[in-house]
Amino acid sequence: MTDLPPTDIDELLSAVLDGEATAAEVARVEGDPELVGRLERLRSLADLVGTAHEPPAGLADDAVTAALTHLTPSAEHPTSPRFDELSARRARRVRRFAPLLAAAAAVVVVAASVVAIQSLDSGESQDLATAGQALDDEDTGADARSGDLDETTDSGAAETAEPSASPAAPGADAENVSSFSITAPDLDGFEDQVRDLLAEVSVSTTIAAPSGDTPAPEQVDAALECPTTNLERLGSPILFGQGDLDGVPVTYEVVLTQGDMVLVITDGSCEVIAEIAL
Amino acid sequence: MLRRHFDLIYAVCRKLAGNDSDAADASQEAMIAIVKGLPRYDGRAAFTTWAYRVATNACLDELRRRKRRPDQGLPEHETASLEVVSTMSASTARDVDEQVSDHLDLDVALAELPEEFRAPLVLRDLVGMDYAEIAETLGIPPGTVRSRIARARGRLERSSALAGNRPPASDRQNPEP
Repeated sequence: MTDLPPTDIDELLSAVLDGEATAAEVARVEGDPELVGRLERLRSLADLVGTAHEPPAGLADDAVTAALTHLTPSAEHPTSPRFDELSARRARRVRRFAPLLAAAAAVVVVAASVVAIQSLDSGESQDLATAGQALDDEDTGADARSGDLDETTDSGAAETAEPSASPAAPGADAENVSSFSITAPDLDGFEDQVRDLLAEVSVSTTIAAPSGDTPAPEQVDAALECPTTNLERLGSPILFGQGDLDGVPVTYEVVLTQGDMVLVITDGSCEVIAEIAL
Repeated sequence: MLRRHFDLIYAVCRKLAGNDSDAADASQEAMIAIVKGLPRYDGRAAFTTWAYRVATNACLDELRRRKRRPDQGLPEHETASLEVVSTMSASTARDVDEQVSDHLDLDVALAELPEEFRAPLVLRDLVGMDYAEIAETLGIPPGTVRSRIARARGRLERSSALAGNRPPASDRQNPEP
């Protein structure tokens, strides 16, 4: 047995256990059967400490939902009472729409992939381009949005942006999208709903910047019905469009923020229904 | 992203708190702290390192706040065993009881450790951080991390709460202080 004081032995064994010891220290322990025995006992204790408790059912979803309500824009864009109100309502809606939102997220991700691939293939300009098909249902509010859009564009709010809300060039329609598999791990169990949505949902996808650059806020203003809901808080979307979720006309935006991709869905009255990390 | 990390953040808070109720509240505060801190994340550290630093400190802050409040009822770990075992079949109840007992013993033993020893030990053994990451997370030098973890393990090994997991007295090198 080594002649080190007990506290030094503790430190030596602990460092060896953690792989933080020098080669000489490791050799010293390995050469002493008593130290090897203690090392094994400390390893058992470390395993016990390393055994994780599972959180109670539902806590994770509740905690994440509640935490997201604290998303604030920044110091210069403090949280408004209006935003707080929307956040609380969003939290309630997220639960109600959870399965459909997950499926919608998959649709958007797949659509984004399709559009991106097509953009790469086409090698076209960096101008705004549209892909996909317009809403099938004329009564879902697409016309109203088109009207708003035309007005905004005509007013000169976005000289460089010429987004079209009218039925667009062939692209990421449901038939094309449905040939893609769902790979997002968070969507396990939602494949059937995604398939159903693909059959029922018409996704009008507008790719904002084929080059990967984010569009200027005024460009997005011109294209979205609820343009400023998320821009100040999250930044410009890399992808946005309009669709239908469980009979509710919605606008969706995919936003890159802090290196993560977030899907933001707003309903026809510009209320945020959900934010989903993709 | 938040969902992906929640389970481990909860587990860290649970080990630091010693009971489910405080862990639930502390992990909730940790998630809020991460979300609120996102605008300040500058990318210098890996996101996970940054997130666990924020979460660990938020959890510790919440637990310190709770410590200052008056006690409200018995700690959950005093009733947890009965609740868990009562839902199990007779054939599995014994194994579960032993596992629960291990956890309860560990909860007690960890609770006996000063916070400055407990936190680095949990980050090492549960999260798997190396000493440098723990040092960055807790804002202490790596050498201090090494000595605190060692002292924490030494105390755990000699803890009366873990007597059932302890080797026979004749095998132990360091007598109780």
